[in-house]
Amino acid sequence: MKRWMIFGLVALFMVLAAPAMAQDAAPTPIPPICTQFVGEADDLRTSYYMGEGLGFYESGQFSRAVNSFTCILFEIDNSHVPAYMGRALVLTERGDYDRALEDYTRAVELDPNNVSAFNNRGIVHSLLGDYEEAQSDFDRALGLDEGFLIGLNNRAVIRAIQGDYEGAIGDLEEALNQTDIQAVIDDLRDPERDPEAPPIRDYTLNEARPYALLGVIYSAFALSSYQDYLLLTGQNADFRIQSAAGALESRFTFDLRLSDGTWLLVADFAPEG
Amino acid sequence: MAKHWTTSRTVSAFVMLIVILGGGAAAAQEAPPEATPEAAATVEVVTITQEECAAAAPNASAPFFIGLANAYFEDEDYTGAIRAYSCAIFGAAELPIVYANRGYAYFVQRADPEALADFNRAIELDGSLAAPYNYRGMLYTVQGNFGLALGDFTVAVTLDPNYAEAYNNRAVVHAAEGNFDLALFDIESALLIAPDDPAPYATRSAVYGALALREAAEYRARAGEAALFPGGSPAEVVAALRTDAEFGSFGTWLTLLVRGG
Repeated sequence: MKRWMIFGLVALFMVLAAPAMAQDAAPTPIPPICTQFVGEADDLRTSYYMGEGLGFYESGQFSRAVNSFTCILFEIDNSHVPAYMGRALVLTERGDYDRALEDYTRAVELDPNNVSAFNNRGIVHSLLGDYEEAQSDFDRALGLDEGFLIGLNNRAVIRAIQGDYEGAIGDLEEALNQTDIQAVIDDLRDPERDPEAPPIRDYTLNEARPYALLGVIYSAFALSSYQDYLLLTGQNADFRIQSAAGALESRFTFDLRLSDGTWLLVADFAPEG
Repeated sequence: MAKHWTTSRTVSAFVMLIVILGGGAAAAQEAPPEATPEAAATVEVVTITQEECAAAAPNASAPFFIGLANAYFEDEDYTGAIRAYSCAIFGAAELPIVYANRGYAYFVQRADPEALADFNRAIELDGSLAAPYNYRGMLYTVQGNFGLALGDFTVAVTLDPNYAEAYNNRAVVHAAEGNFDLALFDIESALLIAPDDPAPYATRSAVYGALALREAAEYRARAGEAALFPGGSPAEVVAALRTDAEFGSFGTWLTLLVRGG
């Protein structure tokens, strides 16, 4: 009788506890709605949903974009790297960093040579404030492609955030060496140059960007030096340095803040499917 | 933080796609079709070349562009939709819905000849689809071709008896022609199918407004200016009705047209 009572209590506990235990389990994902190109070949459906996801992403309809990319992964091919890349991009934009990390991680598991996936995952780590993880990802991207300008840009930013100004400057100088943009500058500064003439070669804004970042990082370096000086001198500090430090501090609190993600560059990937 | 990050995505993979195809967020809110048939004459038609499509997405297949176009279309970025559907057509996507949707995008931009050509092509490819008839009926309505419009809306509801928008649109044409009883009959059909759709209610209120105006005019014709209206002086009541006078005008009927699927 006693044994039956114990069994009954255990059974009662199981019944009462079941809903609470179920809540601890991972929520069941909501299946995507994938009504287009039903019955067509997988490659056609994949292409369609890559396009649709991209279109919704560009339109700012992030939930629908996630649905489109999920259609590929849920219904067609759960190892389709561009779909993980696309969905991670949307999730990052939406601020859903944990899920974005999962998708980028899946992408690099499936394609360990995917420079863009490492780079973009590094951005997500940076947005989460995990700078060591971020730098590790940029290192891996640059390990796969040492001339990867976007990676050099991003690693320089992360190094500067962590106070490694020399390392940051080294990355940016490497980026400038990669592109030989100095030759364009020399040409533009040539006093004999016809002002109406086009530059000696076409160049992108990304090629000019290291100069901007060098300026920012030298300023950050200057601020760090000023702060060391002010720490040592206290009340006896030269007022001109106090003023200069205050001005720079203000700039780095607002428009030149390196940690807000705006200085990081997202890497390209082929979305066409 | 994410908002700031957004600015950096201008360097992302999709720049070329956006530059070449997308009309962008600013283009998302297109104006409704102009009410006058003459408006179409001044339209600059959106175009794109096959080379531009290839530059936008070098390895893209037609379904990719259809997906992209459908997203733009749902976002009411009709410029982007026209370009992306055109890229899909360059990729030999002879699908009626591609032509129907591109035609509708042209229609919104009042590129009437291009819209008509696309609607006709969609119908040629698959005459059993109701949507191209509804869209073409909308074009004919805007152009003032009520007879052709009624014909197309009737085909649309015959092909798809649950096409509430086509019933609504046929009601609009009936009302614009002064056939209010027929209009109300079609509105009831639309409401039976889609009781939560606001469009038929808007159309019905317009029809009742027009009917009220007609009754007021009839009353005044029979009773004279001195007659008293219940609830106020004749001048007050007529003035109130006249605030709705646009209900009886051609332009307002056009705003009641609805696309549907």
